[in-house]
Amino acid sequence: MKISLQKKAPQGTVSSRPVKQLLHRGAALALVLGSNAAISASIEGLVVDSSGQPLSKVAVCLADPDEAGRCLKIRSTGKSGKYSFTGLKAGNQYTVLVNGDRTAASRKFQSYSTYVWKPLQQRVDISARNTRATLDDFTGKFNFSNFQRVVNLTAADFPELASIDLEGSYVALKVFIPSKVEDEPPQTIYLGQVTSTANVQIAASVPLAEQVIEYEIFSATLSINGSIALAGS
Amino acid sequence: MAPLLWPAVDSRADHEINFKRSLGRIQMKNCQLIVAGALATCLSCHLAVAQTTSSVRLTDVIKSQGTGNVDLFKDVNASTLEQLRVDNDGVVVIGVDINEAASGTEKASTQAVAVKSMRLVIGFDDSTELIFDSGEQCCFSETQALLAEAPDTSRALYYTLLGETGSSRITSNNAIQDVFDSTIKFEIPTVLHSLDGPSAVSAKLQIVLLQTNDDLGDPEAFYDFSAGFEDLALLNATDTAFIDDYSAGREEAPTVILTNPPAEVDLMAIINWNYFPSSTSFYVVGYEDLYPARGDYDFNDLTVAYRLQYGLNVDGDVVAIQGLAYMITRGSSYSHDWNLGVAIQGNVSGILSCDTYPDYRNNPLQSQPCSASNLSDVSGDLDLTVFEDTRNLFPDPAGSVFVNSQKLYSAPWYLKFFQGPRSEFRLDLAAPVSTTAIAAAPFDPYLYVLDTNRVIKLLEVDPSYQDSNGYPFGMLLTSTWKPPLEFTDTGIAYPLFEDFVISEGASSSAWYESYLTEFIVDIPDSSVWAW
Repeated sequence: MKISLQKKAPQGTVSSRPVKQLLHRGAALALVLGSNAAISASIEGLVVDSSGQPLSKVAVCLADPDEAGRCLKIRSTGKSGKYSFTGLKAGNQYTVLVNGDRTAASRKFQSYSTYVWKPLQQRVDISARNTRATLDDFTGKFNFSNFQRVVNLTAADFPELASIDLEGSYVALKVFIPSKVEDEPPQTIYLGQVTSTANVQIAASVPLAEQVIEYEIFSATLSINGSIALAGS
Repeated sequence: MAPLLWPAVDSRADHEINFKRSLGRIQMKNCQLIVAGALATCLSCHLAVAQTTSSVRLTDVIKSQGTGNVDLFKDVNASTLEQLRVDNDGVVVIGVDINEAASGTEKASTQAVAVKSMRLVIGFDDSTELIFDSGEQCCFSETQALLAEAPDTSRALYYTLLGETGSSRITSNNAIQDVFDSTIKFEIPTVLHSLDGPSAVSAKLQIVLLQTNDDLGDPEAFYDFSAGFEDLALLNATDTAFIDDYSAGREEAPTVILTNPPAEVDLMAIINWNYFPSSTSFYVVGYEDLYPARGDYDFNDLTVAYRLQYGLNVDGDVVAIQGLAYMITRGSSYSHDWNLGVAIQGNVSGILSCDTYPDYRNNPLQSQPCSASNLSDVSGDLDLTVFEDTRNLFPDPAGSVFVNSQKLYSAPWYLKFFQGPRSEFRLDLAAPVSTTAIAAAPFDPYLYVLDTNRVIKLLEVDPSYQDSNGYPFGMLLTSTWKPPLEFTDTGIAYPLFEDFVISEGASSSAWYESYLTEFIVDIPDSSVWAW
């Protein structure tokens, strides 16, 4: 990872000079302050294939190192394979990775899902507001054994939960992959009681061939079936 | 299907209070009658009765069709039944030993049935009868679950009976505590044996188990009944307390709720499970152990199936990580350790246990620690040796160098498929962690080759484990994977494999479904190797 620090622009000062000169200086100061305000930290890099050719439309994820799997920002690479994150605050640490958002809502950001990436992720410390971090290239390599994709599910993926009294009754949630074989039961990913929408955080590992996850919300008085589409890679 | 009406915890609680108020009088009267003045005070009498009342195993059982017609008087008389009732503060307690075949997520350590109805009819010598019926909230078990009765799909709340196979409870004090799993309680505020009043002359218990709609998978498949027979016993208070406290099989029972939940929420208690890849399937991984040389590329040097599950607390945070693994093939003259890494963010700690059951054929119940190198106190990431020294752990019973990597036949015996060792592991965390703090599935299953001192990882985990042409040495495979025969290149056994690779997945994406039967090992499905 290459990190460069831009030279700070000179700060303007105000002193007892002729008004015209002060006005002139004032305009210059405004320009300087304006340009300073526009400066913020950034991260940029390149995504290529194993032969060094740029890869476009690859989703690059900026994540909190303590919460991998949920991107703060997602940028797609252009034709040149480049990506960048701007407007970053000093004092923060980030993790950058490809296809890093594993929430079901962001499944469209899973291009090149059968690729593995080297490095898998890169850590960046934004030490100053004018930090410009240029990361090592992400190199993608087709992977013929990657049969699974990881999807993180929250209450937002089960919208019916919002209208159910979860504290007043016993409500269960079952998340499963439907069986394609007759008389064979579904594959259960999650099965349990739901006491609060805030507590729904389910990690699912789903075969790439599967297009949907299904779910059932049930209690003694209701049974709701739904599905979550996974297509879109 | 009519919804169950009889749980009604609140009304039963009121009943219990009223009943306990009258209990002292009943006990005193009973005491005087039974002991007939042999003891000076009622208190000492009651103690004497409690000390001498043993639990009684019953002759009748719940049969495999799910119904138990039980004549209590085959094994006890009115006096003994009364002593047991008094010992349990006016409750007749039936102990149940659950003996189920695995279905759904059922396994030896957790299995269950659900109760459709219960009825106890006690006849007295004055020709009167007392009838206690579940339709009238007479009785309860410790746990309940929402279940659909076959063939319906709508669910209602039913009492459940949970348990486990085996009898190795180190804290038990007798044979009853060793094997009985759950309790059913009938509150009976009536003296059953008296010298100057009516005494019971018969006691007939009927228990009907629920035929769950197991086409729905879990939870119905878990709570179905199958093998039977469920053995029964009349319990004294000591054994009742032990069995209720032990709560066999409860932790892994899906969607179970307590009939009488504790007032305070335990944040370390598991109430839900999150499975990887699912509660009934496995990840299958294969390795080429000659790394960095490509070798014969038959990808059968070691084939392992594994599954993980997170135990979640009431907040949805992880409090335990539990796993199960099976060795399927060992097609190598090298020996290995098979390890599993699970990265966990933050400074977590926990207690680890891991046991290997090496010998399905001769001693399937005997276990040993997975590895002496596994520390019980874990701090930071989990890095666990699940199968140690595979060549010694899984030798070919017929003396071949390889196991399950050559052509299989139904006979003779030494050409059949051999079930490989099983390992079970569990990390109990010291404090809950978020699911997002744990590295993504399929985690980091890696091989350590003892003969070369080299580690081999999956390509997804570490892309550096590939040869100059990009071929990996560790692959995540499909759950129905058929390994290529010994010395057979994967591209020969799976003709579409090369096209899939060359096209970088653009075509032949289902390459693993097309194989040449003469070049693969016809591994049976998981119902055979997941023992």
